[in-house]
Amino acid sequence: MRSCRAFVALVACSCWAVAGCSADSSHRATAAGQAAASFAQVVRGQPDAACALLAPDTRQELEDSSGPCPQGIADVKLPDAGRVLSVQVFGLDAIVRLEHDTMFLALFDAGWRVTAAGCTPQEEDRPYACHLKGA
Amino acid sequence: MRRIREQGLTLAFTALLVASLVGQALTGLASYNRQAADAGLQLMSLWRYVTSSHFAVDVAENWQSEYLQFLLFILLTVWLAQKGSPESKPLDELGRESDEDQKVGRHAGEDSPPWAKATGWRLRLFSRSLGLTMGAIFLLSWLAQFIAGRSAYNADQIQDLKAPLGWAQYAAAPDFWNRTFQNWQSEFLAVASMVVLSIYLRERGSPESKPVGQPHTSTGVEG
Repeated sequence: MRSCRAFVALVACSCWAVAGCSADSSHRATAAGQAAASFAQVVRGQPDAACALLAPDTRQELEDSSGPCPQGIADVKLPDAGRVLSVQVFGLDAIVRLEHDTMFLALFDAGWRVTAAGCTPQEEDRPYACHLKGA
Repeated sequence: MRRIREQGLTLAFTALLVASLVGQALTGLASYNRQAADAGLQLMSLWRYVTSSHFAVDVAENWQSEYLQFLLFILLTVWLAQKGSPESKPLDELGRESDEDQKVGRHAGEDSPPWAKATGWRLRLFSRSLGLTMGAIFLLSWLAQFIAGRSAYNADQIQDLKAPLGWAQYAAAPDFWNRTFQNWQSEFLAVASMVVLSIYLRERGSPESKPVGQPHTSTGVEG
């Protein structure tokens, strides 16, 4: 009987963990979608705000290749992304598909940051080709 | 003190389990954070790591294989024998055995478990409760490996700027089956080794071994 109770407790804990993970994942997906939409909104007219939404390595790579971020980001050919169609979050990583763009994001202490944007899919299981990405 | 002595085996293995999980968590966190730092990504705290899919899949893939190992060992030893092994039943006792041998129904003793004295579904369920429970835990652990494994794999995919896999795609992915088979093969090796080595080798005082002076040919005799 004791082992039966332990088994029920194990199943209950598993259900609780799955429910908790699911709620947390939903919250993260909303936040990741909002970050991608914000980046798409400001990348053309507010370069400083767009730079603040880049992941550190992505910003560094941009500055290494094109000079200070606010100037460099204006030269990157990013599409008019449109509205968010879907968000998938796995742990601290997210992929956000918009009407005319796909963005990759990572979660930092400061919130979701764009690791790659202006991305188009390639052949099966090859990395997306991205106009803006880290090293 | 007597109580501790009576539960020594369970307590010792529980302590080893906890110590190993702590070791796995600390070293797994260090490994993850080293890779995250190289990729310029956020480092994880210990709490975030032990609640992550990366830790969950590493734990679950080992758990499922252990429970599968014991499930198969419990079930296959009903019908399969190994001459000379203390892990095997005597060659003439294969199968589910008679009610008298199993002390069930009207052959149950005063101190037999209540459901062993019962008839019908309760007796049938209790007669298979060990295998059913081990099988259920195996399936739940394997399911947990599948769910957490997909999440961890897809996190890596996204870091590599690749599309995440759907459920059906991950069910056919090498990552899932490689994690599964690499654990299964080691469990089957361990069981086969135990069955065969215990024919010829002894561990004095261990119930998993024959008595030291027992002939190699005697089957189903434990120390």
